[in-house]
Amino acid sequence: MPFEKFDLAGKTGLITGAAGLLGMEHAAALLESGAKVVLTDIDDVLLKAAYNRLAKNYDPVNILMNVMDVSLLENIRRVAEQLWQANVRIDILINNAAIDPKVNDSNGVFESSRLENFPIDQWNLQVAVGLTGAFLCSQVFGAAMAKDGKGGIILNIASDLSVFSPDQRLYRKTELPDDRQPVKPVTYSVIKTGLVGLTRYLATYWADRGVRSNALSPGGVFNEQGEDFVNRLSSLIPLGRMAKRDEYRSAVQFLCSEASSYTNGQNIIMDGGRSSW
Amino acid sequence: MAFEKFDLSSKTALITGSAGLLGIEHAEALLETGANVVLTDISQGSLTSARIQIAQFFDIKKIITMVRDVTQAAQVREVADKLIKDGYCIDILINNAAIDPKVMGKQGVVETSRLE
Repeated sequence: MPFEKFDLAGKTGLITGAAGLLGMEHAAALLESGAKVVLTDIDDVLLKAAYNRLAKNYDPVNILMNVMDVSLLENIRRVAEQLWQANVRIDILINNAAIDPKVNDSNGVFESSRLENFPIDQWNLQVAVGLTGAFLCSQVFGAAMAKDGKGGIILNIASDLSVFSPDQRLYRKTELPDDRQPVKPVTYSVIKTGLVGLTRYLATYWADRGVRSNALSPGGVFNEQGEDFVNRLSSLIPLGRMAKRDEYRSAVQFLCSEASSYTNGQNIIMDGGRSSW
Repeated sequence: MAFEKFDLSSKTALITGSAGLLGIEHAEALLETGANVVLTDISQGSLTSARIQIAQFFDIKKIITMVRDVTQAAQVREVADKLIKDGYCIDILINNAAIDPKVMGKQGVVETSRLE
């Protein structure tokens, strides 16, 4: 059978930030390959909506969900304990949760996304979710994978902004002066690059315990952004377009299965060629 | 179907250096997913044995072989023309051919692998 190495029957994958646009896609990728999934998210309403959407296409028996705040260790431990009690072993961890700050118009006198004005509480919150959250989930679920000797897989969802800096010209508003131009905030670059460091660290740390770790760095996903922005971004991408939301599934299936048995500590960049230009 | 995006049915792939250790693996990977493969190599003998080896597991009709030296543009074009004439369109190219110098202990006074 050609795809037996992709087969995830009997495996369970936990996805953080599973109610988000890509979180749901990662869950669908694992379900397609036969895994059970544990959807986790901080928002219980969105989590239920994600569950309902996935349950239309996949057997609900294979879909569990838990509200979880990845920035709180006690919260993660509680979920791990519940899963353990229910005899669910997490074989795959997808650290996907992040606060993705949209670059918006702001009518204020100053633009808070700019480095000069960026609020420390926003820095702390975004780092707590996007970076510390991945560390804490790896600490709890990764350690369990290593401990019982069965190993496992940790996939960190980074971004093409883990390998290059945001091009702030993409977000430029012609009517605004330079000091009020909105930007992709500094946190995004720091968090996504940090995840690549975490990936390499984990890849070596538990390698002898059968735990592999890789990062996936997606480029921007088309989600009805404004035409002007989409055109500007597309012109920076050799393939001439943003990604479709389901175009990362195959990579998730590869990285979360035995198909990638010799891939460890890598950052797989899927950006339509943007970083080659 | 879960893996339809991996499906290569009706695709044809050309692999250079196909008679080598990894060349054979690349060919089998594509055959597993349904593609036709064109094996090319500089050595007719090892190309034939590669084809026989692979045909133990896959439909021999999906395995074409062509001797070719990738460093000779004329030979490459000749292969391309022949494939077009036979109705094949190459959808996938795997540039795999290489000279892989093995590092061996030699008895001589001069070790040629060294930069000097």
